[in-house]
Amino acid sequence: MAIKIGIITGILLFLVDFFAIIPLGIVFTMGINSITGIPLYLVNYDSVQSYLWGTIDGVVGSWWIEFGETGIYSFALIQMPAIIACVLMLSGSFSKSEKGKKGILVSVIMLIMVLVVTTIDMLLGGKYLGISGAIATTDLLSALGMGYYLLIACIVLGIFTLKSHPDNVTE
Amino acid sequence: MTNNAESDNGSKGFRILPFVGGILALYVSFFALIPLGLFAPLFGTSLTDLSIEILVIDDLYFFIWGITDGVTMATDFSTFTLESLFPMLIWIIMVSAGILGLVGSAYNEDPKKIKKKIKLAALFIIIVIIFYVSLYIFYYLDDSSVVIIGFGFYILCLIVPFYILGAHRITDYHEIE
Repeated sequence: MAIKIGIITGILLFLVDFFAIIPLGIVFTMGINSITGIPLYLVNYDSVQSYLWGTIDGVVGSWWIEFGETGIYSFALIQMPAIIACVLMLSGSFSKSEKGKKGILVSVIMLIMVLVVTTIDMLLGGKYLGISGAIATTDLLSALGMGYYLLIACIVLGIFTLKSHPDNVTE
Repeated sequence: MTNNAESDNGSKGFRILPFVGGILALYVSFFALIPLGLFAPLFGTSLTDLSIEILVIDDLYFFIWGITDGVTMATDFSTFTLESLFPMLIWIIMVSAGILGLVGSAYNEDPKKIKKKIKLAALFIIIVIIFYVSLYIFYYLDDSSVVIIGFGFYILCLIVPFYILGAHRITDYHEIE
């Protein structure tokens, strides 16, 4: 059971870490395109969508590193921990030893850290999320995106994976 | 007496029927059409296609993943509102049915558990079919609307017997023991 939930969590994390949308209505006109999709941004504010990997300002997408010094902090505090969490979650799910369980625990802690950093940054200025100002608490619900909710879902699933992970059994 | 019944209880190895059902369920959940005449020079382009909408009501195409008039989206998942909650739920149910079918086709475990998973997947598809049948009846009784059943609906109806037969085959082998 732990393996299955862990793999699903790892795949969801991978999607949120690297994708802009989950494509829906895939068509085959002029190559492979999609009619719509589930956007995976963390927050959408003032026409800037902030993802785990960077931002999209209208049409132009930017990776964190392109933002200069602030971007490096964003990369270190938001994207890198999420990628490490994804790797640890997947490797921990396939391992039945104590090491695997510890890996999943570290993964969950990292995800909680990413969630806390993004939430605080949203409310205090949006400097590390690439948005132009603090989001008022009244506007927060409308600004939050599917990526943010998926992050919460991954944390919850990670906790379930931890609880059902088999301990190291040596005979 | 050999242990043929134990090794043939349907819980070992690969089960093709739930696998095909799972693939079909996931395909309908993510794709808008079946490409025909794939065109090699431009990768992934097709010369023609078969659209897999579930229903067509007054020139609105109802897919599992949303509603479109061919130009714009009538519903989408970009905003988390009450209106988008129900379509999202239908989509999640379909994706879950697909994943359960795939998991039920490949994992080697207790036959009862595999059977439960596949039956649950079939139940999910039946719920979705009931939803669209209700929608069809509602709009059919409304004389001002034109309702057409799409090819996607027939695919949904095809998935259910795949799952039921897949679960039934496991039951048969288990009862021989």
